[in-house]
Amino acid sequence: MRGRIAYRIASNPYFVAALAVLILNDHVLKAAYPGWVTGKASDFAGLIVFPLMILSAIDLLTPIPARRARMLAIAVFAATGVVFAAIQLHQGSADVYRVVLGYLQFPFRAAIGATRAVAVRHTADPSDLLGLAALGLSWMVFVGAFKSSSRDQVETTPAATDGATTIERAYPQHGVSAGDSR
Amino acid sequence: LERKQRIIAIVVVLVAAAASLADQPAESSIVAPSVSGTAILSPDQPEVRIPFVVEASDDAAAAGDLNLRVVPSVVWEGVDLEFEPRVAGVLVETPRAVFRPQPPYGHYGAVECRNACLGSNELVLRWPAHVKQGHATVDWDISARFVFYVDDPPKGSELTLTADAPPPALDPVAEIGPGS
Repeated sequence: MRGRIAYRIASNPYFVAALAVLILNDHVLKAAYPGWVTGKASDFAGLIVFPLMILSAIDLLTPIPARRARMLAIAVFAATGVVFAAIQLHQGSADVYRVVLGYLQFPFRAAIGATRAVAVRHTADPSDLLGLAALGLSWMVFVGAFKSSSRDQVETTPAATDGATTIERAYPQHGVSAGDSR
Repeated sequence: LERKQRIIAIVVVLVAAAASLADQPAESSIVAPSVSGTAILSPDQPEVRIPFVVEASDDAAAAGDLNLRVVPSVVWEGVDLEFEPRVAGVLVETPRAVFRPQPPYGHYGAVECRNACLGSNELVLRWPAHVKQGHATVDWDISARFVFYVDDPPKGSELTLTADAPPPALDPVAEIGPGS
């Protein structure tokens, strides 16, 4: 079913907590308590949320086939990590990020009166690479969501009646296993 | 139920997208008119000092980041030389960069000094001591910008940049030419 993985991600407590931290931190805590902790919290929360958001959006647009889930997830997580590392280590990449995000924000800012796109704030900081560890947690959330959605699918399939058949159909070499969560 | 789950997923993805998009605030800025000039360096005149002052109103200094940019554009004149343009702020360690001009058109480089260069500064252009002949024309440009991470700068924000540059010792057009 389209959106099954997306729903499982959306209802995962780690994902919801990370999203809450991202919103609260960016719009309240950073201004109230500027510093190392609030600066890093956004990186951690953002790196948990972003790849899961992309995979959810893909799943809502077109169901992710089980046999391609692993490769797709690896591609999304790797791209997230590479881009994040690039904008922390390379000033040119950081500048491109500032401008591109500024343009992406512009339609929403225009709705509240802005008349031109402006670059956003971003300072390349290699110490932010610590945040990449959050991709591990994000990956585990995805694996959990994928397994849950597979179970959902089997439970709604009439032919799946006995336990052995259920397990066999739930994990037919679809490539994502608990061992992948490293 | 599936329809309800899909709607929940769509709403959460949209919220996550909005949160990711709004992750960084936009910036606005005020800019001081840049100052520029020309200096001639040679073994006979190995050093040119260009004092300059950056001043900002209190509200600007409290709310923004100064982005000072110094660009020496070196016209190469036949020697493989290195420059050390320095911006010596009163509050900052001297940022340092070395420019290696490449023939035939020289080299362009910049030194940026953030936040701590309000007040008196000095751009120092220095001829390398080990080079005993030749000369170089350096077109320098200093600009200052105060950046605010909100849609509009604070009202009344001002930024000024003034330089007291010495005139070039030689007329670069009349006296200096390729191969001279």
